Amino acid sequence: MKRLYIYLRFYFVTLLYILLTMLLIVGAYIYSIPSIKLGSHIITNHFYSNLGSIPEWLYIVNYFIFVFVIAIIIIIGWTIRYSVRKKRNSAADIIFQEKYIPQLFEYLFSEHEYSEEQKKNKLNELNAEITSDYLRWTLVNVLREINVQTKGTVNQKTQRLFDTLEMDYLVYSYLKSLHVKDKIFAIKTISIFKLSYYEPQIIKLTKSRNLIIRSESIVAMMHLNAENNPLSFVLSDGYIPTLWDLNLIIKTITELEVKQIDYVGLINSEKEFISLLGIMLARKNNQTQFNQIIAAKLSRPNRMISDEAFLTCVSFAENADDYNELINKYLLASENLKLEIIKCLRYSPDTQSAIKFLKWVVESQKLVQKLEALKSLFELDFNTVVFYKNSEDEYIRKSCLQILDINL
Amino acid sequence: MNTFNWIDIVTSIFFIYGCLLFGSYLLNAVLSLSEFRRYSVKNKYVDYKTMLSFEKIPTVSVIAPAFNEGKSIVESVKCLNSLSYPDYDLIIVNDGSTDDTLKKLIESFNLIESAQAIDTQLHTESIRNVYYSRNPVYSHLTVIDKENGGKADALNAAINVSNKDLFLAIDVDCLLEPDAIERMVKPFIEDRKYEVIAAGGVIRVVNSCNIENGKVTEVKYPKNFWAKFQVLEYFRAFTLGRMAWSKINGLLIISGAFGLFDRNRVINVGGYDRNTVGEDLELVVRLRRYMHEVEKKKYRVAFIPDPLCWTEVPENFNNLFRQRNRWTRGAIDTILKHRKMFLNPKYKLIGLLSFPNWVLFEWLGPIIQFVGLLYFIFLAIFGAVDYKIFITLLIFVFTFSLMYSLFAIFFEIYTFNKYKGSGFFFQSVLVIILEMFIYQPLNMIFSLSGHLDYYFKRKTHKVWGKMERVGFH
Repeated sequence: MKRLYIYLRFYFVTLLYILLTMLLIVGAYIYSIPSIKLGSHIITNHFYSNLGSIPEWLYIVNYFIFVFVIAIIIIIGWTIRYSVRKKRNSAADIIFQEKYIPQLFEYLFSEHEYSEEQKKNKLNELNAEITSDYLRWTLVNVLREINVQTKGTVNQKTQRLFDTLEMDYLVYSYLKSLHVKDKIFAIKTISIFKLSYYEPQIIKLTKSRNLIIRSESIVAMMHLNAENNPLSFVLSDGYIPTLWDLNLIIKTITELEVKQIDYVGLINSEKEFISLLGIMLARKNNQTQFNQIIAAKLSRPNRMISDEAFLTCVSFAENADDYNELINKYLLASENLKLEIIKCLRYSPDTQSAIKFLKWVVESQKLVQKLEALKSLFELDFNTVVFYKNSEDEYIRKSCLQILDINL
Repeated sequence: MNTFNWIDIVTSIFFIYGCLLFGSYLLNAVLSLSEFRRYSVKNKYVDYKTMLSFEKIPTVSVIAPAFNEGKSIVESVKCLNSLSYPDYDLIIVNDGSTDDTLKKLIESFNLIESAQAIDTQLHTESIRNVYYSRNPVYSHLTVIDKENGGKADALNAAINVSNKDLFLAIDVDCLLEPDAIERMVKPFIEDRKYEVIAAGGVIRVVNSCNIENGKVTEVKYPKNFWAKFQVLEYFRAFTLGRMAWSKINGLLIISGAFGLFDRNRVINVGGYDRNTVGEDLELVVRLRRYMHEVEKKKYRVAFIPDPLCWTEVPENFNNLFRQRNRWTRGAIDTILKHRKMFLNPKYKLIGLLSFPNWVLFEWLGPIIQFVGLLYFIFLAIFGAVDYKIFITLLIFVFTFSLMYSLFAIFFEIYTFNKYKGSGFFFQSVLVIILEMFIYQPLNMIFSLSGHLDYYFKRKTHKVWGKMERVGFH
């Protein structure tokens, strides 16, 4: 029943459009004939009698005026209806804030332990008062926010409270809803309260064309599988992430402090963004043991992958030989990557090799790279920067002064 | 050919033009509704805060040229410094101001002069000094002090100094929402099919709003009638017009007050044109030409309908006149410069639809309106007006305009609802009615003066087109 209501609500606007278009067409037809016969009734078009006294095109213009007037009335009606509905919802929000939030906080955050009887009574009170879907929706949202932001007892209490409230029918119907807002509500709830029996539906949604549904589903999948290879769905057939997804996956992996990652599977994936994800995760988690696999990606035609692999190899480099090999390939890198490499060298374990390389950049490369190299040298070897202050090359001298002015 | 035939032919031309105009407005409304629905489904529930911890997102320079902005410069910089984007810097260009703009900046942000090595990829007037702040709160701030060269020249100077992937060109007196950059950058990292080369955003009117610490804290409907007219005009232009063109990837203009661009591509096309006053329109047209002629890749100019940028609009006749005159000159200049694109299938939709739309309705529109008015007076004098037809057509125009503007207002209430209270709606209805009889005819005159200035005075170069600012309250 609830799903039927949701479907009707979703298609209401579309149905209205179809109805209005049909009315326009039927209206135009009725307007163009002198009378219409409905059974035994004959409806006469009184406007038609004017047609003799005005040109036909003007007759059509009159019809448009009629349509515009109707449209004006509809727009005004919609605006008033919408404003009233907004006011009603904000009034419900105020009641929720003033009445239920204090009670909820009192229950969740008080150190006093309620007896089972008291808990049952409180729950009955809450269930009796929260009758509309809008209030239930708001309550679950609040519980979810508290759950995300807390740990320990309060976190467990929100989980228990959610389970006791028996909101499963609401989550299910909203997950099936066509409204994005409803779907997101359901996915977030599944994700935070770990309702793992929804996993098959969530996997389907990770391939959704809608970015926000896809993002929320990715996060939900990782939450549901936080303990057991949360990136397995990434390697499944048909999943093609965007740069947005990739960022989101890395963010969630970091938040969940995931340890179990199939780096080799990710890095060697044929799908470009998945391979990129593997390399980025390896660099972020300092997985130097995959250096050789990553080095093999330096020749990938996709610039993003080869750049990321290059950067990762630079950050994994340990000795002068590694650096020499990379310097040989430096000139092949894109302009942005060159800057990234220079920045990366600030954290190099082999300081001497890094300084030597940076000096080469200052003396022989483009102005933008000189500037970035001097910034890195400022961190690694202040004396070299001071030395360049008196350089004969005007650009090096100016760059050097700029770095010193800002930082000293 | 007798006189009456001649009159019939001219009348028919005006009638066809009118039909095309109203048809394009109707199409705009339908397309914008569809585009907004698509945008809303895709973005309404996105939590932009997640972007703050993203690892791989484009870096951004916010660049703002300033000329005699002493009244509001400090508030503006404070606002621009408090944006939430993780990797951005702020470059203010003092374009040879003759007031205390630079002095205020130096004092308020503890600026120090610094040597600066600049990779001059775009030619500009000479740079006097570059300043950085000693205050760590403003560590992302760079102030360039340069010889006066006009807005485009100042923007080019900032592009030279920037070393980020994208740049957000704004008017320094604009106030941005804290998450403005995230929302503008999103299309650049989410699109799989197209390369996004630029993104434009909506400009909102800040007059009469409450502002605290460089942020709009309460949105109020302007008290001044000129500003009220412009609120309505901006609703129509941004939510209905540009949204519709964005739907079919035919957007030709990104407002100079708020637009995000791919820096490398802008450098490749030679930066902003310093010899026009319509540098914003001209740059987008040139970028599009470049994509068609040189890169030949699938690309897109995105449009973000969220209200992210607030600006002060002219509150008196003279300022409004100067602004519109400048806009018209800019449009004519760009149209003539890129006339090769007109109905040229090589440029696909841009050449066949967007550009002709600008030629027909933006360039020729005011002229045709004016000639139509003269023609009507001529017919009236010679008793050749059929008043029954005239009144019917007048009612047609009136009801259509009312419907179109009401739709724009409804759109605002339904989507962003920034103006609270029922008073806004009823005041808007009054403004719509007055606008038809006061503001629109005046706008036609402003545009005509722009045409005259362009053809006879050749006023196109290096003019800032300043308006006197009241400053933020």
